Amino acid sequence: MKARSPIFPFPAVTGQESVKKALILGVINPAIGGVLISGEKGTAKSTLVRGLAALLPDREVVDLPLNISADRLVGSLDFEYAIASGQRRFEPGLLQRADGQILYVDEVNLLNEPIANILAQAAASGMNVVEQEGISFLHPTRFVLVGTMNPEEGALRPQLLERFGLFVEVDGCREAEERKEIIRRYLAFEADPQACVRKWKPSMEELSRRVQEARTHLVQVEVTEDNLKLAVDLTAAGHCAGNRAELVLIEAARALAAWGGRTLITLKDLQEAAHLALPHRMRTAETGAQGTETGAQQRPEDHQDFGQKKHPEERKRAEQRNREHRQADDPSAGEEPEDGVGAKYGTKDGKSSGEGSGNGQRSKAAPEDNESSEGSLAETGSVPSSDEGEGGADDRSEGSERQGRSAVQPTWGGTAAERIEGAEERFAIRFTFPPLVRKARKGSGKRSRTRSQTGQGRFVRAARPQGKARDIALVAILRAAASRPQERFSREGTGSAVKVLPEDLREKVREKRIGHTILFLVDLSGSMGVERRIKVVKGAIFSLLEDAYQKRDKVALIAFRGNSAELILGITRSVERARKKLQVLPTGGKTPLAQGLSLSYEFLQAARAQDADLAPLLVIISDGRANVSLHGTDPAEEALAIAGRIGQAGIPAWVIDSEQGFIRLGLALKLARSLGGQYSRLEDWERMVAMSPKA
Amino acid sequence: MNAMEIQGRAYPFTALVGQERMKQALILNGINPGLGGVLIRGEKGTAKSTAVRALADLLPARNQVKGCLYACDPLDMAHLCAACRERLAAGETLVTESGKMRVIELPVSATEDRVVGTLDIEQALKTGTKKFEAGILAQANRNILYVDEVNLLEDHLVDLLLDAAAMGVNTVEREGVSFSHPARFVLVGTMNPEEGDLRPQLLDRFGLVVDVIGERDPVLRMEVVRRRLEFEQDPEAFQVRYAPEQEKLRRRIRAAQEFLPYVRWNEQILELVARLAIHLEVDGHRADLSLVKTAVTLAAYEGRASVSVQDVLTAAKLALPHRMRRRPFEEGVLEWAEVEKFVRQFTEAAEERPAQQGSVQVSG
Ligand SMILES: [Zn+2]
Repeated sequence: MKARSPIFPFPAVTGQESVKKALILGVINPAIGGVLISGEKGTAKSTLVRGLAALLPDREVVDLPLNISADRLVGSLDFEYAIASGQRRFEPGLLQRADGQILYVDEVNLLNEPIANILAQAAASGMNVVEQEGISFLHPTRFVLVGTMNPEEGALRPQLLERFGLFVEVDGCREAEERKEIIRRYLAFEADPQACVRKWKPSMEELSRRVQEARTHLVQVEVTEDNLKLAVDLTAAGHCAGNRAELVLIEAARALAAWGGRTLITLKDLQEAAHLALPHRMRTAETGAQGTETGAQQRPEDHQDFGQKKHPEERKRAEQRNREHRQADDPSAGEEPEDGVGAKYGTKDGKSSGEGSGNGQRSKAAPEDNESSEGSLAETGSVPSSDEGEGGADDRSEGSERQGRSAVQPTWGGTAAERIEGAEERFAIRFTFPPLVRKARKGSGKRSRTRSQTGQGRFVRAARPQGKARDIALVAILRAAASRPQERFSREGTGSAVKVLPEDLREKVREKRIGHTILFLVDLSGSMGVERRIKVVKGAIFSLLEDAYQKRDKVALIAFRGNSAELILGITRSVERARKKLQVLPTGGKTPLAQGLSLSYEFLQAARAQDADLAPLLVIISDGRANVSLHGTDPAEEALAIAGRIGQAGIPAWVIDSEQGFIRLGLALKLARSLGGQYSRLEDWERMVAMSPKA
Repeated sequence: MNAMEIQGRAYPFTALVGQERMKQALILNGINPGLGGVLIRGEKGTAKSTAVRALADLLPARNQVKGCLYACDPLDMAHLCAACRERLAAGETLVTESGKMRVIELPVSATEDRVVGTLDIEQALKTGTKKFEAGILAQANRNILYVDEVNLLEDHLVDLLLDAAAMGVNTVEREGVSFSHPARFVLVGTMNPEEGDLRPQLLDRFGLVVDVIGERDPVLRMEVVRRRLEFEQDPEAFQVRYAPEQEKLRRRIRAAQEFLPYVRWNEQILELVARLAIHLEVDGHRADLSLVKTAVTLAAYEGRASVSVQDVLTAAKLALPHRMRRRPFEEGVLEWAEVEKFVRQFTEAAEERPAQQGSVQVSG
């Protein structure tokens, strides 16, 4: 049963032409694989999707709510029927209802992992296979997948991202006349929806007719050898992963030709298709480091001129950037950094430099990542790597992709580059937690603990209880019980409809995004140098704070300078407060690193004592210098000793080395080793910032 | 539970001392539930929850379908629940009764089941049949959904709220239940910004925002305490004392509700709103809509047939502060002087242009 509200007419949406086009192409040719729409809040994203269904007489929009449980998605045993009749019957889930329809997920980037996996699999195979509680069932599920997302809330899981054929970004309109028209139309709709729908009926019918024509016309569109060759060239130029890119590109171009009433695909069709089909498949091959991503979303025109770019100036800058990136990535072209950003300093295998960090890490990280709720490797594992056998620099770039965010971070980027400009301490390239640091954060085993004991979190599926069942999944129990023959069970006098045996017991598996508690230990002493340096340091931290927000982490802040370290901000959910505090902190003076470490250690230990579930992470931004003694002994030794204690206490740490200049002491690296933690160099990130066009 | 509600008696709205902006925002939402609710930011102990309950008590009764769980509006065909729709389709007439808007509380500790509704466990166990047991979102339809400390709400509950607020429908696909029902509510949230931020998306869903601070004026503080003591001592007598004022305000709100669809605005107002939104670089288009709707409601409340520039300015104070952000945690500070300057320049320039007349009808 569906409560049906009036729908804002599709053609009445002002502007947003590329979104409209993408959606129309998506329904003309389902082989494209659907559309992902990304953009800021309040930009008519979902209005357009809903309007789409009204355009198609034979299609409906099936909503996939974020809190859907697995049984309702794939379908399950109909326990009602089983109890009433003693017969097993399959009760279809949403995937059955979505067959032949438009399956819509709003805020698709917030979908939890198990559901996202099911969805990605179903979208890939076009089949839904159910095997549970004595029933096995299989049915086709071919749907046009449409998702909307607000990238502020985080990136989309890569395995789902690649399922979307087309990708479009929306932005608010900055033109007064258009804005006025938007207000007029929306308020008119709100005042009298029916009248509004009536008013737009002719345009709806016209559009609907055109879409129908294009749909029937599609089979007549031919794909020539030339078309294929160009498609391959375009995807190669875009460094797209996998060969789905070409396929989608061709299908989108076919749809465009059909929409234009042509039987041949033109160059323009392919170019236009590339703009929709490729942006989210671009590998950030130029960004030569882990744990970073370009703020600017890679667009086709960054690699090749598609003839639609507005400013030649911008193109020139992009080309320039590419050149510089290539140089930076070529070990022979310049000084190769001895350690990649985010390189792991293995305490066990003694491996200590950037070489081998790529492949070695990959295999090591894999098993753990499989377990993770925000895992990236397991997911990207399915993305075929097309550049096998390239140099070490490229390995590192894969790292950033494996992190699962490089592919789409769109609204920060592209147009976002302009937005960042005005803001102080903002950089075009974001600095984020590298995968290995995240791995360390996952290693704490939080997820399994939180999932069964509290009644909190989002219910995902039911499972046989491990140990005593606390969070009973009644429906699953009824299904299990009802799937057994019940003939001899008499309802009379028992007050129960079905006989439940111990083996029928099921409990709820819930998922909860658990943030970590990240303590930033910031060196604000004189050794950190000039103002410009501090600006970079703060910029890096702000960047990390944004990342922390998306992961729902809590943050705390300790700074050290002069003779002491100070707790600037206790554990808070308000990342904004951390930002504000940091902004006004004074800098200069001596470098009491040991004091800072000591205070951090005490602080995190106390926090852990208070909350056993706390998952700490210590992020240290410093050049590793220490010149204020804590106990009258050598300050540097003292610092390393405390670092050792922190490492032994099992507190994951990440040192971001701020050292620069010709004379390197490598003290932060030593510190990282003592901590048994990760190590990155701020300079590597800075260099990328400098190379980005908007630096 | 609530200190300000004694023996089932609500504290009179008109007896609230100070906090004019908050009261204004609440009244506007009472007149026009389409404004998108209000977020009240401020320290604890500023009578936020009292004010919300007082508002519900103050608002004039409205029509609803008798016996309908969702209190459907019998005249609003577009948003009827499935049961009412079926009854209509079966040729029944929907019996109308008069009912009050209620305050439905969403506790921060609520479980997902409780919020969206779930399978009726008892029925399933006893008879093996499925029945949907409605949750908080069902009760909230056409009512006030009140979330105290909304910034502490768990992430997955925020997602639910966003879903429902976006579509006005609660879609349940969980544990054998497949059901959807209307969930159009006035969202009222409170938060203490010290304790954490609100997710930008949810923030944007709030039509209006007010910042409250505890009353500083000693004379007024004494008055707050005095009235509270009086109310606690004899709530009935207290209510009787405020009855005339309550009735007066109630009548004014009812008049504004009836007048709302007839308030008009001209091209200049629209131009001002659009240009202001561009000038302030707000995200998306919700700010514009919110501005116009709030200004229209303000005019209705004042009994004026057309929206004035002053209405837009007043509306801006309520509808813009939280929409200035560019990205999470980059606080967009509403520079009030900037807004005023912009509006002044705009009107000066407009006076030199010949006025274009045009009007569109609007209602919540
Ligand atoms: Zn109803």
